[in-house]
Amino acid sequence: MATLTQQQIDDLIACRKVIVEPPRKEMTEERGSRRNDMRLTSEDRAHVFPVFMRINSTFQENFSAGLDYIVPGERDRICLLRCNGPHGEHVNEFLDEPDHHVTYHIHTAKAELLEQQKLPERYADITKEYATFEEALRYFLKRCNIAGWEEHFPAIARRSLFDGKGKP
Amino acid sequence: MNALEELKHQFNDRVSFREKRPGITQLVAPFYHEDGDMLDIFIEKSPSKNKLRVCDHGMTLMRLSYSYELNTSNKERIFQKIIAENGVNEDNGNLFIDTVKGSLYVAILQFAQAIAKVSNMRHWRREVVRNLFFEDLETYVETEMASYHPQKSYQPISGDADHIVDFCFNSRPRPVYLIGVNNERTARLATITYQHLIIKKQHFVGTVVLESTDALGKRDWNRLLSAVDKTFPSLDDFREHGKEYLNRELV
Repeated sequence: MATLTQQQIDDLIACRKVIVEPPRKEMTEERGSRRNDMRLTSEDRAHVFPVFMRINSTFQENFSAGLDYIVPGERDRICLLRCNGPHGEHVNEFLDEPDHHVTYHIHTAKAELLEQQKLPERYADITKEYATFEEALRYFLKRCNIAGWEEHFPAIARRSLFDGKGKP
Repeated sequence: MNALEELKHQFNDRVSFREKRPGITQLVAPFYHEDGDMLDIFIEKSPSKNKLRVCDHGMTLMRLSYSYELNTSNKERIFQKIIAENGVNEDNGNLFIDTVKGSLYVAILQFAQAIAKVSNMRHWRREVVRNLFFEDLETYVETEMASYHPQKSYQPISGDADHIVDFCFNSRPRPVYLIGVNNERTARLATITYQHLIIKKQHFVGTVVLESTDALGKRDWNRLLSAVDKTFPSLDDFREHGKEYLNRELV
């Protein structure tokens, strides 16, 4: 299992990335969900990041946009960041005071969970950053610092109705 | 007592319900994935008379697809085996069990177990899938490429059992050798084999089929690329372009 420090995890999420395998122009419908994928690298090409985008076909609020990381030289692939809709409950049961929530949330990789050989993205925070898949994707693309994303997601790039912190 | 009330009683009042859509009830129960997200379990009327349906509306396969695709016949076969053995059906990605009201509790436990097993298929990427890759490659070459008369586990230099290729397509003027690569170990073996043949002044075309371009680190990539003549970046790419490549090389 890969070992990364929290600083390394945070830097991998924040580092400038380029799109090397662009997404399809349209999401494809497959076995109950709409799907799209792309592949990124860091600008120096040293790091590879598969990205997945999914929306459930029945429940459009059940969506996910995630940034994975291929650990160099290993067969490990870990999830660094995943933006979810309010699909159901999430619990951070490993905290001293486990918290449950049923709303939009963001999974973020934690180094301590990697060390314990648990899924690093087991930790999730409630978020107010988005309310739809499109808003989540916009937030995700900007947070992951992806160069040129506007070219591949023109509809997302159009100015959001809510341009600030939930204010029109 | 209706079915949901009875179910809540059977779970010792430790579950609740949420109307996801009219006619679709989401079960809120302490069953979680490894990432802390609750299992997606819904209860609704079944198309079968007097039955209820426990289902996931495609959520299990959607989650699995984040990092694992059922994109080979072997993976699909294993998936179908898992759900069949656990009494679960599939309709275009929707996993479900139809049950009578009195068996709803048991059906939910059974369904939760099946979801967990399907979700755990992603762990197979490192172990079982490694073997599935070579099995799929071998099956493809021996069936779809039979007309090229492949020779399996071939020794390019007679008596030299230390340097073997997975397949030889032997024809004038030069044979085409093929080695499958899915990790650093097999990449290094392929590099060593082809470099040895070059040193021994053998006339051949050295090819590799990768399981995935993710499989190797930068140095292993560089060493492999300097030793081989042709790299197929995936089994799908080999299936798509392998025959036309052999047609060009074996003329």
